[in-house]
Amino acid sequence: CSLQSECKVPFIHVGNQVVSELGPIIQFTKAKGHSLSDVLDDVQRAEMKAYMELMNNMLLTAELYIQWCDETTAAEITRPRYSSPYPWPLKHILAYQKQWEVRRKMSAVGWAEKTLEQVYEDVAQCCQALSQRLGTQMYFFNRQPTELDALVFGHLFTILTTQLTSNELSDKVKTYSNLLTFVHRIEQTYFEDQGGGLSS
Amino acid sequence: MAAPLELFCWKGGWGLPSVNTECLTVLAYAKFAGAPLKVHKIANPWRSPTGSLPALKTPEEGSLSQPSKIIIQLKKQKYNADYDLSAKEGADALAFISLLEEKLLPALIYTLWVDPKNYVDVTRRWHGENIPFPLNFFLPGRMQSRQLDRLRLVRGDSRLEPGDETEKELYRDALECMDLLSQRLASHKFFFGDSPSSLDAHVFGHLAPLLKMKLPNAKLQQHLKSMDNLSNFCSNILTLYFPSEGEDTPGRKFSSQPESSDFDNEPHKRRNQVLSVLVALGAMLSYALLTGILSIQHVRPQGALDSSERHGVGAHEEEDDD
Repeated sequence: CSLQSECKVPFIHVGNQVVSELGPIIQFTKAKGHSLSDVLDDVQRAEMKAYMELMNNMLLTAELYIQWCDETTAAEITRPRYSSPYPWPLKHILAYQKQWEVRRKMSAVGWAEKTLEQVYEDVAQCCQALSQRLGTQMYFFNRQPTELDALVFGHLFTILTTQLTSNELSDKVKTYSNLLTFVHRIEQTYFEDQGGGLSS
Repeated sequence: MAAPLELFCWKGGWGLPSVNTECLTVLAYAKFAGAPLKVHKIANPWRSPTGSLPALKTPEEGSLSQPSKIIIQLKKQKYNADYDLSAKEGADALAFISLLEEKLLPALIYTLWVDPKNYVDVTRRWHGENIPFPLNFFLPGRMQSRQLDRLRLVRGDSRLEPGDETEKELYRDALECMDLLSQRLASHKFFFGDSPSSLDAHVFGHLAPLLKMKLPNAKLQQHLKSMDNLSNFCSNILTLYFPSEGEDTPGRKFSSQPESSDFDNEPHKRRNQVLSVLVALGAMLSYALLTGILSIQHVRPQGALDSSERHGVGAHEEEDDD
């Protein structure tokens, strides 16, 4: 964290440059000549970007909501997890501060008055859209994985492998068998040797 | 459908049916879906049943104010502009709406409410002129601070200040978003097939204000105007679905503006006169109360006390006398 100007993960460290978060890292690797979306045409690239924003707009917000605004999850999982690296008085202050911040963000995007059920509905709607888009293809755009596949895999794999107070979130994802196969396929193809995860 | 649905939204300007993105989105969606709404175009958010605009008043479910909820409600009433979309197209619509909200909306908020020149010359001026009298002094400022707050929270940067750095970042995202939309639209009339959908309503709501408002700092506007298909898309919807506003072209607007503004201002002037007379009367009365007549107000209870005391004392005296 001392390396970074803004303390955000993930980051890559190249020479004296530090690039953090997905968007800038994709930009950076693209500038170095590695891009996954070069094979796409203009319309497909527009669609890919749109689906990536769908993930940020709906799934990420829903994850934040469930972690911080559902009091059971916040008390049993999120606050202890968030505060674990800090010493005693600080850990409570920081955890509640973070919770307050997330709740303000929720009210700014109009999610504050949503109930937990409505948020699960939104997750289902988002998964439904992803599942429709994926169809029976290997990856979202034909046979080549793109940035979108990486982002979707990251979110869904985390949802599927994280034990929360209730299984409702992962059950929502599990309804869509093609999304499950998609996550399994990426795990087996690219993270085979790591072990753990879904297959174990 | 017994009682008609009532929609409250910001009134129009610059040849737009409404000046607010969310109101425009809802209005456009209702037109696309053919929903018979009773539309109240107002300039006082306090008159809306939810205290914010847009708001839909339904007989069964009370009042709704978020555009997404309003659209869902209209869909429930069988006014569905997305009926013809396939499942995959529906998914695409959802994705592109997210793209707009994440990438274009922050820049739109910035350009209208945060950019100092645009805010003072256009946004605050319009709201100051249109919001009714006592509210127009503080409501625009409050709306601005709320928008700035929202921008800070959405961007996750609590120290976000208007400036070149922020502007560059937000505008880069917005220009990219417009490029992507333009590529997706290509030469089609609407985003999906021949009839407009909820995505078209959202795109229209976000782009039409940029196209029509006369902003001093017009970077986004210039970029949008350089993309023929998107600007045609907006003007098409305006002429097809809002013909009464569409006629109001900039050239004609200037000639008709003085008349209409005079006409509009007449009741305001009368009310302002009445109000100023009332304020002056109030000031005089309070001055009078504070100086001369003040004693009268206090004399009554005191007088009552005094008289009873005096009476009491008098009685004592009488007793003493006896």
